[in-house]
Amino acid sequence: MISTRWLVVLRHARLAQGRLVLMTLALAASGAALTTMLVTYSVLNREVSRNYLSTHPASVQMVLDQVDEGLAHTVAHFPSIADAEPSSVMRGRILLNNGSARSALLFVIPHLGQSRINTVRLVAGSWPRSPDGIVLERSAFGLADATLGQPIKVQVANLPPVALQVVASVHDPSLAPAWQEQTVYGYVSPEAAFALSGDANLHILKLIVESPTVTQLDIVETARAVAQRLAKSGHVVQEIRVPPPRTHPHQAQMMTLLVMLVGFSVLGLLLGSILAASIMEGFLAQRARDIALLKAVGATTGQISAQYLTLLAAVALLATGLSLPLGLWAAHGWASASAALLNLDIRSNAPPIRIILTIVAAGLLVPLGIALYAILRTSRCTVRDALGDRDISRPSTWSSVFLRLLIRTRLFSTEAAYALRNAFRRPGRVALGVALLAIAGGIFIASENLRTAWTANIAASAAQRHYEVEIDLENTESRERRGGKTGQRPVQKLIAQQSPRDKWRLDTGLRRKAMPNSRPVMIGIQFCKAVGKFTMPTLVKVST
Amino acid sequence: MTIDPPEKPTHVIRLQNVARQFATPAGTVSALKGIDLHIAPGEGVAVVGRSGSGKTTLLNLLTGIDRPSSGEVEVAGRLLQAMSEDELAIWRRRSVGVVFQFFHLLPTLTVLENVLLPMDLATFSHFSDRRTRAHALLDNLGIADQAHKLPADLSGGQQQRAAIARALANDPPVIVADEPTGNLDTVTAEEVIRLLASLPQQGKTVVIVSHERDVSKYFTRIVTLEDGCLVPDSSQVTR
Repeated sequence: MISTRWLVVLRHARLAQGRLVLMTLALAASGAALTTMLVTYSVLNREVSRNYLSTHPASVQMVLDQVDEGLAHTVAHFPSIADAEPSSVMRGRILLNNGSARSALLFVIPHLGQSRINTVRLVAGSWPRSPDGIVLERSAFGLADATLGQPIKVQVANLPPVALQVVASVHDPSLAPAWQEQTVYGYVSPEAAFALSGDANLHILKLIVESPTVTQLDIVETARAVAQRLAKSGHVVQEIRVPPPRTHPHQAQMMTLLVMLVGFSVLGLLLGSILAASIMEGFLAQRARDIALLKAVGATTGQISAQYLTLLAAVALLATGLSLPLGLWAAHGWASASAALLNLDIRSNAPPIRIILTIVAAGLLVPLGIALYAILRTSRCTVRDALGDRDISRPSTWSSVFLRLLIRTRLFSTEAAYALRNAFRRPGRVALGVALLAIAGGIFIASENLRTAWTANIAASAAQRHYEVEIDLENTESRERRGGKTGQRPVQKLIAQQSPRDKWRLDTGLRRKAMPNSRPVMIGIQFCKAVGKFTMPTLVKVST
Repeated sequence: MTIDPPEKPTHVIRLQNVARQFATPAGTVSALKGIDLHIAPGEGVAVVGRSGSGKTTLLNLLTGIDRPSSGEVEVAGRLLQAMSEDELAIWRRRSVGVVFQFFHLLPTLTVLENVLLPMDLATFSHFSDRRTRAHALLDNLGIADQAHKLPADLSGGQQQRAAIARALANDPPVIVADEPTGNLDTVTAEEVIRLLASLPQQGKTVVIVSHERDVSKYFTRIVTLEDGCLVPDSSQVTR
């Protein structure tokens, strides 16, 4: 049997079903948003790290004139170096059957399948046993129009294309998806690289420094020391790359976005809780007389507060119960979509238990905390005040002053002035209403600002892009190398021949890409036609 | 060595120079002006007077619903003005039963549950015994057949009987009734007054407020209030 004082609350709840449903929905919606964002954040944070660290990422990539396995073996015994491996990277293109081509980034690895640094996971097929084999990143198959076991034509610079057999599909979590970068990722042996470019030399020395807890500065110091030793032994160190240790290249971007969304979801929970508190305040105001009667027959403030806090806790618990599966489902979708964008595999969508506990605690405590004032205020109301309607009818000093001011301004009729005064009579309710509107307005303005800033940022980035077409040329001299001499260069000639009436202009800042083996030069061309349809010029021949 | 038997208390209610003022927009209003009143255990007292004479204020002070501006209010051995709101609520559970003019039964509880409520709050006896006692009280008051109805389904007289049953639920020594007949027809009002007047025979101290002097024939003592003061010659009625 249930005690009658709890029966009172249950019957009150039954009378206010609509309000309670609204409170539950408000809390469930905001709780679901918080669950979605917190779980997505925690799952992605964990899975991004797990995926990336599973590749044993290099602490340092050093671009040298030439690297071989002997040098790597020597460097691996340098102080603070845990391991070293040689490799290289080539830019090329995959020639499709329809005559078009795709950019390709070819990683040259001496012993595919036996790498210890920047490893990839075999998804299908087997590691190449002959020089004519190529391994493709799993996301690159569609872009390269490739099938496992079938050959693809690979071309480096303007050398003759070479047919390489696609022997395996691998997953490389350190790379963005191929479709995103519009680049086919391939892994070839030095022999295949030689067949493609005539250059079998490796140029990148990958290093792993000892102690996984070292900072980026420590790694830089170690890399400098290695570079100095290599320079002394006659090697040319062209570039030293030290990425943030143990961090996926896109991790910071993803996490920043998620933290921002977690912030919004916290505001959403506050909003839902204030709405729930506001509804609770109205509900209690309706029940003030019953509460006074409970006190008249012996109920204490604590008992009454506990009764209504329990009711709200039950609503909050129900809302949290509803929001958790909804939020987990949404988080699963969000994390999966984000993982696809980052080319990651999610091993488990299960959030850490501390995150679930945090969500449950927030779902319970935030609404209770915000409604506490309203509940205590009603529970503390004296029997005399509640039975005599004094709590409602007695205007506070400030509301009387407010009324007098309203009437004196003569902007409102007396009826309107009284209506306004009544709207502001209960300061607690006014505060909740103002807080509700302020948070809602804050969320709206913040999201609008964010959207505008985002759009503006993308527009600014697009505006700063000074060309519409990128052409990679082999062995083209940069303007800097030519000592700033101007004059019509091959590309200009080509463009002049192709579209003489269109005003094309070469980007004055030619950019060299540091690709030691192929040394392509990227030329930006700005399309200057004020009016007209953009027409892609047909690249017939580029000579230098 | 002999032990003296405990002295029988001479009063269950003691008001000493009690005054109550209210601040209103029109200025301070004195509802009670230095009242002295002693009521013995088992006494039945009717407080009468015109509207605005301070009757309800007096009753509110006796039940701890209001506090005096000055003076002392002692009921059932406790000085009420020294107690907090929660202490007063706990004290009310066992010490005083209140009957209101407008019944003030909780509309969402049945009649039986309304009677059970004070017992549950006071954890009176065992849980199962409470239900038995509540049924017995309703039976004594002639509304046992209405036990499972909501107050709204009862007549005014039945509701007031239910309110009296609720006031008696925890067997308090003092029963205070504020205009209990004010909302009832004449016949029902008389029934209710008779009911309340019979309680001193069960050892209860009953204080009833009424603006009708007719109640005087049912109570041994009439206290008349006039403009917040006790009328000196009104305290004892000789039948």
